[in-house]
Amino acid sequence: MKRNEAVYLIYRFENNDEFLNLSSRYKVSYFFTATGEVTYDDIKKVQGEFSEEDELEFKTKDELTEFSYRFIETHNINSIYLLNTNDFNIGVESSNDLMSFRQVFSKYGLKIDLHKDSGGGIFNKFF
Amino acid sequence: MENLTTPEMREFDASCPAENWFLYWKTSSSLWEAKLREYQGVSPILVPIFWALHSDYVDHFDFGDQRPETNLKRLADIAKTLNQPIVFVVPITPAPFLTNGGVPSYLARQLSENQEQLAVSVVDSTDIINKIYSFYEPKVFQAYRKFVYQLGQYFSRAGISDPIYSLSCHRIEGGHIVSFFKDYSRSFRDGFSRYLKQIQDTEEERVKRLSQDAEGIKELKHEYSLLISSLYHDAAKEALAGNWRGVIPTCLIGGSSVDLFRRSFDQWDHEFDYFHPLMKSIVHGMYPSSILLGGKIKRKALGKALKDTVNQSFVREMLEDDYYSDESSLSYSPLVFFELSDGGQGHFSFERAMDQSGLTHFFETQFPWSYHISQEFNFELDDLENRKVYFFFGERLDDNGIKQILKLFMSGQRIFIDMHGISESVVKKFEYFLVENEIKKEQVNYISPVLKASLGEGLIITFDRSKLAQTSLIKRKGFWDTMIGYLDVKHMNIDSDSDIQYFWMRRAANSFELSYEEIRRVHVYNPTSYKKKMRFKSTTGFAFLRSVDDRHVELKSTPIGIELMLHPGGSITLDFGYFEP
Repeated sequence: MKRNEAVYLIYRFENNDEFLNLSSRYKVSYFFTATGEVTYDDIKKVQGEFSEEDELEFKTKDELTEFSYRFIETHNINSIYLLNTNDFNIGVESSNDLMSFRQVFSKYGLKIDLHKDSGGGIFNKFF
Repeated sequence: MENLTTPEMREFDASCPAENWFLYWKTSSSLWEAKLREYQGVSPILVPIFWALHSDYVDHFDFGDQRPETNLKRLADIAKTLNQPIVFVVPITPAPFLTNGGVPSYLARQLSENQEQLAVSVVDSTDIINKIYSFYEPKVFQAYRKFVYQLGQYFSRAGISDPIYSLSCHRIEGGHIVSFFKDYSRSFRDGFSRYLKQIQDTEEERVKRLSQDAEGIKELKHEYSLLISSLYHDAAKEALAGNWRGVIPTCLIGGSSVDLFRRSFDQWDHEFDYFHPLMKSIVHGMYPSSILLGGKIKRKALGKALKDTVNQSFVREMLEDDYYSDESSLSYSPLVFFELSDGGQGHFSFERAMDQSGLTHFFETQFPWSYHISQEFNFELDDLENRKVYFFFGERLDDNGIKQILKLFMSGQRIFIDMHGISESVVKKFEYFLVENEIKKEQVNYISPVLKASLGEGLIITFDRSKLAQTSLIKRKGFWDTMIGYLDVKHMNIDSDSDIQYFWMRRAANSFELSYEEIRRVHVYNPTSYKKKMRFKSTTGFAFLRSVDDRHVELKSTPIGIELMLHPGGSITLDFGYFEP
């Protein structure tokens, strides 16, 4: 993963299904940079217990955000754009060409940027 | 100062964006004749009919009465005058190269969603984002039925005799071939709920049983999806009966959600990524189309690969649906050693079964793209040839399926059956057959329980993919090396750098090539930006005949084989004669 590269993460919220005994989750659907998909090894560096067969998922939105901060710090990248599928779909519906589609992430997503506005790394974001 | 009067040469023609496709609405109708006259590709030309163009508001249909670009009779007449065969294709699924997937804007209400709940959308060849709208909206189907009815009436009124095929569009999503009809949106979910309520009255027990787990629900959803898709299919078939010839299943290269992201970034978008989808669609019996890709990416190796694969005989035989069965033909068709059956009822993940058994990895490393996946179960015994090895998954077999397999076996074919998930009644039938006919059998335990039954040249080997799935990929490969090694499949030994792409084809030997049983042709491409090496090792039974159409390649013939040095974007075609040593 290149330094100073922007990363894009699209996630979906899966509501709990009492019938099938499944709990609610924030599941990562797509995770990529301008040069390709984020690899398993890149995720593993941040989420030690992650295995290749697993889907990257979080119990709460805060966990997902925290993961994003750790990802930025570990890989020394610029920022992550977080976007849920609903917002993505709204963004896509209003895009007509590649030019407008490229702006969906900055327009509808949440930009997480550790380096710009923090001096002390991940803990400053939480404490 | 820039000269504003000099016309700029356009390299990419939006009306002929790929292979043999002609999009009549992308150019003025006054240019149709010139475009078709200039056309030099394979024939017939496929002309998709753009529903939204002919019906831009409710119950209004235009076939040349108001706008000249909707006059299909004129287009058909021009083609006839130019002696340029065309076939019309009517999508029976959303067609991603059309605005809104082909749905008229007054009906485009609910975006179709993929399994990840993401709106299905694609980038077309001109960098326009085409959003796909759900075909599960009842209003969409009602309007579709009216449209195909009007179209059928128009064709018969206007006396258009050109054939019409239905077009079923697919993409490759996460390595799987997925229909653009597949939808997880609210429209699908609402329709599915209505369907469940309906069948609950008649099949209460079954619905209750299947609703208890995720697999059962998948099964029911699959059933509902098939039902709705058959409505579109039947509507087109009935309304266009006079001209209707069948369904063309097409796979749109560059049409997946990941492709949407890939194509948004120049650093990510590379022709290399489209080779796998191209080859995959061919082995799955799909008509590959690069209609969504721009001209730039097809300038080098990918463009050559498309020309090599989607050639005249491919197009002709795909339309006649016998591309893989004409063994005596003197034109090249894909070389197939393994015929895998994905036929059968109900929901089944063929790709997962292939992965679990280790066959995907084995084929990729040992016999890349030299297999064919068919939805058929009924093999015509006259068409069979001994070289092929058949694979069946027990989970998909019913009484009729096993009957077909035993017929194949009796006619001397070599067959593998995965016993995982096979029903008891099918196993009993199989065992009864072996006992009744006193078939010689041997049993060993090698990673999985393996049973070998043979009769003359006929051979059945059974295995259990769930046992293979518990072992490492290397062990699974070792299993298949041993099994296939036993069958003595005649193929050349190849050493190649990673990322080199190649595709084997074959044809019967002609009267000047009588020393050979058949001619094998391999198309080799280097879609990377690096120099790559490849070596065809001298193999008993194979003689190098010629190289054709080389671009940026150095070829060296040595006593140990043929060595190639492929420069970036390089490609070459080699012919070998195969003889029985």
